[in-house]
Formats: sequence, structure tokens, C-alpha cells
Amino acid sequence: MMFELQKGAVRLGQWLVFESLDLRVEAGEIVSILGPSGCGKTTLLRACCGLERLEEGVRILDDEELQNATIHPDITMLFQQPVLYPHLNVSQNMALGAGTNVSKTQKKERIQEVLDAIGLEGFELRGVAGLSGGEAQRVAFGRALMQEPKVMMLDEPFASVDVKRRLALAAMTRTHLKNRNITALHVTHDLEEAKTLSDRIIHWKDLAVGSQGRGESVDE
Amino acid sequence: MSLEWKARFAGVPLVHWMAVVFVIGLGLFPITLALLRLWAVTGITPLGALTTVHDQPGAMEAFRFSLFEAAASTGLTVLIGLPLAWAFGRYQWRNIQLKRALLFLPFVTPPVVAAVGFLALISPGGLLYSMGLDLRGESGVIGFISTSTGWQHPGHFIALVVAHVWFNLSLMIRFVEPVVAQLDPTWEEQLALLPTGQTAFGRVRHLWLPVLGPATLVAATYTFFFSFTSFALVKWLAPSSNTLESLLGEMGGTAGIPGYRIETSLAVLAIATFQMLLMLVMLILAGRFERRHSQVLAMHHEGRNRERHGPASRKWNWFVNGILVMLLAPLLSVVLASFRVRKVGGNGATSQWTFEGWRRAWNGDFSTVPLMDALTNSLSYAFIALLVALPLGYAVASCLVTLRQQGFERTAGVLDSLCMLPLSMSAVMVGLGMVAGILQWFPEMFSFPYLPAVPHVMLVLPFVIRLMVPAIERIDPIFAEQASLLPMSKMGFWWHSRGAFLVVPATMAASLCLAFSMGEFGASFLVVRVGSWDSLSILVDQVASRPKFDPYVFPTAMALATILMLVTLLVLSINERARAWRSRHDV
Repeated sequence: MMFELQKGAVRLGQWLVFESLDLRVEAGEIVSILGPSGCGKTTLLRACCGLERLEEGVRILDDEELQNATIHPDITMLFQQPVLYPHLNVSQNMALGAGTNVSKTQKKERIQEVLDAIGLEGFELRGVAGLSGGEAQRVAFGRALMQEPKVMMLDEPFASVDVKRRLALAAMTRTHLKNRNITALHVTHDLEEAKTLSDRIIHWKDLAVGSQGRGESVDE
Repeated sequence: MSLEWKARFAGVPLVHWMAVVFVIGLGLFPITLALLRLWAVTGITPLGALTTVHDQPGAMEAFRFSLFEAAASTGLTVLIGLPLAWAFGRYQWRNIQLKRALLFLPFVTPPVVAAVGFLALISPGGLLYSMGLDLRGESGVIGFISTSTGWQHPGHFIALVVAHVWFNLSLMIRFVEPVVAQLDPTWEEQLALLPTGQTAFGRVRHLWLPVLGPATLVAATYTFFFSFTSFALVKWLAPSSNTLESLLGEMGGTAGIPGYRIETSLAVLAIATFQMLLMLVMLILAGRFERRHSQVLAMHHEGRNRERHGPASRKWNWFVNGILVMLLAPLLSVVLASFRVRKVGGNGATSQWTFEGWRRAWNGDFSTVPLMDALTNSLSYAFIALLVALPLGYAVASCLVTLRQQGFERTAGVLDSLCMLPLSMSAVMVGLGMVAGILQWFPEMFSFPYLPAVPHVMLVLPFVIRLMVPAIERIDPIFAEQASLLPMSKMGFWWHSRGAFLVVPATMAASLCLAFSMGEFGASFLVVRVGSWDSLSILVDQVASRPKFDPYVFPTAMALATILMLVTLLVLSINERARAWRSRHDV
């Protein structure tokens, strides 16, 4: 699905984080936004997701204009620090992504399938407190895949992982997103990570005020 | 305009607002009715009555006594509790969970059990009596102190203060121990490397005082508050004196009846207004200290801190274990005294071991309700209090936290204080609200079988709110954001963003609800006097108040107190087990 933000503006208290921001991600495309810490990348993703209210502008998913500050079931987000529920084990956390209309058996099979795909077979009954940063983020990614979203926002998801693993994880994430044809918007301050993961990179400075956000393709 | 059931105001759901209004109403309604009733009967306004408080018989004496005993109790609690909490928080202890539970035990012990427990310790045949400390009859050393200083009943005063210390030591542990246990160790190490940290005085002044001061102040304020409003312990351990609370308890039953003993109604009106103002000031102070306490310090991992300091020295072991033994002494005395009958005959006093007290406690007699009725009443009131107070307390706490998060700090502060009103009124005042307020205006309530549960709900609600507010505040909002992005039902959303994180505080709140309600004495004392809703704590008091020429009165009262203590502990342990089961099956 195509995702677009038109003339977006977000204000947090007195701070106008960005305004007149245009951004379009084609169906199945992965776009990375590259920018320094504190520039407003996370706020942009939260607004795209519906977690922050747009002061101005609209979000469009294919031809549908989304209501301001509401969550759409086809859009999900991977936070910088993986958010796993401490009172649930790995497979219970994963199960939350499957929804309520899926039978227990189906849920179990899908969890197994996703865990195998992200390299966490045998982790089903593990408590989440003992997971490493990378493992925790993979569980969170697996849970997001369980949702079968059309659009995924990725907020520096590999920030808590060491450099070597970061690129491997980025590559793995790209494979799964592409296999499932998920449109993705990724923010980071790491150029290597952006190159590994995305089809197109946009610099925040080109995006922030009134830019069309065309960015450059990774090949360029 | 129709009102949407799901509507939100200032970000707070309508149903939570309704809970806040209900709780404030529940706190204000009975006491307002009581004051209006007393005003109507005496023809004097509460403020007018306040100006006559010094003329009321026994009022100033009770005020002075309340002040002295509360100050002494607080001073001694801090003196013993501070080093206890420091050592307990700093070092590694074997069976720390058990020790912590034992230190918490007095706080959830029904006051009437504690009162008769201390009575057993200081009565002839009791441990302290055998050691030559006759705090009851005031012979020997205590008698000498009395005659040489002219101090009336020093033994009663000492017994009361010791009992208050016994009760409130757990408050010092509750507030001070976590601060010591989780303090960043580099603070201490850095100070030791600086010139100001070279002396013990310097370390106390620059580290321990600023760090432990606010927590100690909170614990001390609450200790003062609870000692000042003490009722059951005063009634039993210092029968020659009154606190304002026990004076109100004595007079409150007959207040508010038109044309009958108007002077009593006036005295109750004056003293109640006076005590309410004092309590309000104390509560505001406690709230301020508590906010300052909650602002302190980035916390460190407790286990690693303890590891760093290692096991306690032998000196500290003796100190902490000695206190634990002393904490258990009154409770063990109750059990022992229930099996021992003391007879005075031609050969002097003799003691015998017997089950007669237990037999009488079980069978009962015609002057009191049967044991099983009292037990059923106690359990019913406790579970009603729990079922009502827990969801109400959660809704109020949730509303207060949301208001603060939305920037409505001042509104949240005002509502918070209003919801704490029942705490500022003390148990007897709440009972007075029921007797002179609700029952005088609505006598048909006499037929409501669960009436005593109403003051229990009022009294436990502030504690539930106090436990829930910080617990809700601590929940990271990211869990709610993540839950909102996942496909789950409304109930699932609530559970994964709120409920699952509140299991521990809710269990603690439930334990407090059950324990406080089971042991509640002040309000029940007033309410049951006008009805027939005797709870187990009232039954203990009724039996223990009988003339002691019957040698089995004391063992029977002790057997009843033992049953109350055991049932309370049983209910608490079932609750704690439920929590353990819940956490095992969650993770």
C-alpha cells in the first residue's frame, strides 16, 4: 500500500517540530530518513502512525484519507527500544500480534513459523527479561510481522544492538519486508544501516521544510 | 444535550470522574450530616463550638496527653527504626523476605489483638511483669518513679508508647529501607574521597541526612498521626488517660439525640471539630513530605548494593534479630495467655494450663454474639470493603494520575486531598459520622445488615489510592502506545497497558483492605454500640472488658484474639499466594 503525508505539521508544546512536510512512500517501498538525534524523526513516525496529532496536514493510505491521530490496523511501528510485555513470555508477546479472531492452533503455528523465520526457534517459553537487545528487537519485529501490516514504521530499531549485528539485522528485516511486500518508513542516523535496509534515502534537511522528499535511491 | 457514557473530560473517562465524586461524597457525607445534627441539637455552629473546646470536660487533658504520647512514640520509633531500616536496607540478610514480612506484621495486626497482647505481657505472669516491670499495677521501679516524680501512671504511658513503637516500626522500614537499599553506592564512595566526607558527621550531614531525611519525616509524620488517633491501645493500656480519639469514642455513642445530654453533644461537636482541624494539618504536612520524598534520587539495583556491602556484622545481626523477637513477643503472649488461667487462692497466685478459654470462646454465652456470627460478620465486612474499595480506589487513582499527566496539577492536588478526607477524620470520627450523622437522619439504615462495612470502605479507600497512584505513575506509557498498535480487545488493551503492572500493588492494597477491615475497631466500636453487627474485634473487646473475678475471662478474650489474629493472617497469606500464583503464570 502507498503511504503519504501531505503538508504535515506537528507541534509539541511550544516547539513546532516540523511543518509543511510532504512525504510519499510507494507500495512495497522501503524509505529511510537520515538525520541527527533530536531533529524530530521519531515525532514524524509517531505522527504517521497516529500516535501524535497533526496540527496540519493529512495522512493517506492508498486512496483513503486517515482520520487525524487515530491508529489504523494496517499500520504498525517498531519502537527504538523494543516494547515487550514483561508479564508475558516470548510466544505470548508474539501472540498479541495475531489478533483475537485467530484460533489457538493457528496462532501457535504462525508463532512457530515467524520465530523460525527470524532465527529465534526454541525461544517460545523464554521470559523477555533475559533477552539481549537484538533478540528483544527481533521478537518485537516478529510480533509486528504477525500483525500482517501493510505499512511499518521503524524508529531506529537497531540502536541498542552492536554495529556488526545491526547490519545483519537490517538485512534480515529488509528480506522479510520485501517478501511480504510491506511498505516501510525507517528513520536512523546511521548511513550504513539505511543503505542496507532501504530502497531510497532521504536526508532530514531536504525533507523538513516544504520539500517534496524525493530523496535519492540507494544506488545513487 | 445527551451525555456520552464513554465521554472524557480532561482526558479522564466519565466513569472515573463518577468514582471521584462518589469517594469525596462518601468521605464528606456522614461527617457533614453528623456536624449538622450536632449543630441542630446544640444550636451552636462547629466553629462556635471550637471556641469552647478548652471548656469541655477532659478535652484539654486529652489533647495534652495525645500530644505527649504521640511525640514520645514518634521519637522512640525514629530512634529505633532508623538504624533498623538502615541496617536492614544496607546488608545482605538470610531469609530477607521472611524478616521483611515479620517487620510488616504489626502494621496489619488488629489493634485490639495488639492491645490484649501487650496486656498479656504486662499483666501478672507476663514476660515484662516477670522481669520486674509492673507497667499495669505500677509497683516496684515504676511505682518508685511515680511517687518520686509525682507523675501519674507512668507505667500506662510507657506501655502505650512501647505499643505504638511496636505498631509503627514497619512504617520506618516501609519508607526508609528502600532508599538505603537502592541508593547509588558511588555517592557514598565519592563523598569519602572529598574533604567533607572524611568524618562521620560530614557523611551524615552531606549524605545520609539529605537522603534519608524526607523518608524519615514521612514515616515520623504518619507515626505521630496514628499515635495521636490511637484508640484501642489507649483504651486497654492507658485506661486512666484519654486521647482526643478515645474521648470521642466514649462520648460519641450518645451524641446527637435531641433533648438528651446536650452538653455531651456540644463536647463531641467541639472536640470533633478540633481534632478534624488538627488531622487536616497533619495530613497536609505528611502529603508535602511524601511528595518531597518521592522526588529523591535515581535508584540503583538493590541486589548489587547489598552484595557490595556483604552480610551484616554480628552487632547488627543481634540488633535486627533482637527486634524481630520483640515484635513477635506480644503476639506469642496472646497465644500463650489463651491457654493459661491464673487463680488467686490461699496459697497466692497459681497458674494452670487449660483449654477452658478456647472452649468458652468457641461456645460463647448469652451476653455476646456467637463466635461464628462475629467471624462471619468480620469476613463479610472485610470482603465487601475489598470489593468496593479496590475498584473505586483504582478509578480515583487513575483519574488523579491522568489529570497530572494532562497538566491539571492543581485540580489533581485538590481532588487528592478531598479523597484523603476519611483518613484525616480518624476511625472514631468516621464512626461518629455514621452514628450521629447517617443513623440519626436516616434511622431506617438500622436495618441495613452491612452498615459497618461502610466506614470500613471509607477508612481503607485512602490507603488503596495511596498505593495505586505511584504504581500507575510508574507504568511506562509506551506499553499503552504499543498496545494501541496491536490488534486486541478493549479489555486486552487495559490489561496489557495497565492491569498486568498493577497486580503487585493491587494485592498489597487488597491485603491492607482485608487486614484493616478485619481489625477495624474505632468506627465499629461506635457503630455496633447502636446495633447488633458485632465483629470479631468488638467481641474480643466485649469479653476482655468483663470483670476479672471470673479467672476464665482473660484466657477467653485471648483465645478470641488468637482466632482474630490467625484468621487475619490466613486471609493475608491466601491473598499473597494468589499474587505468587498470578506472577508464576504470567511469565
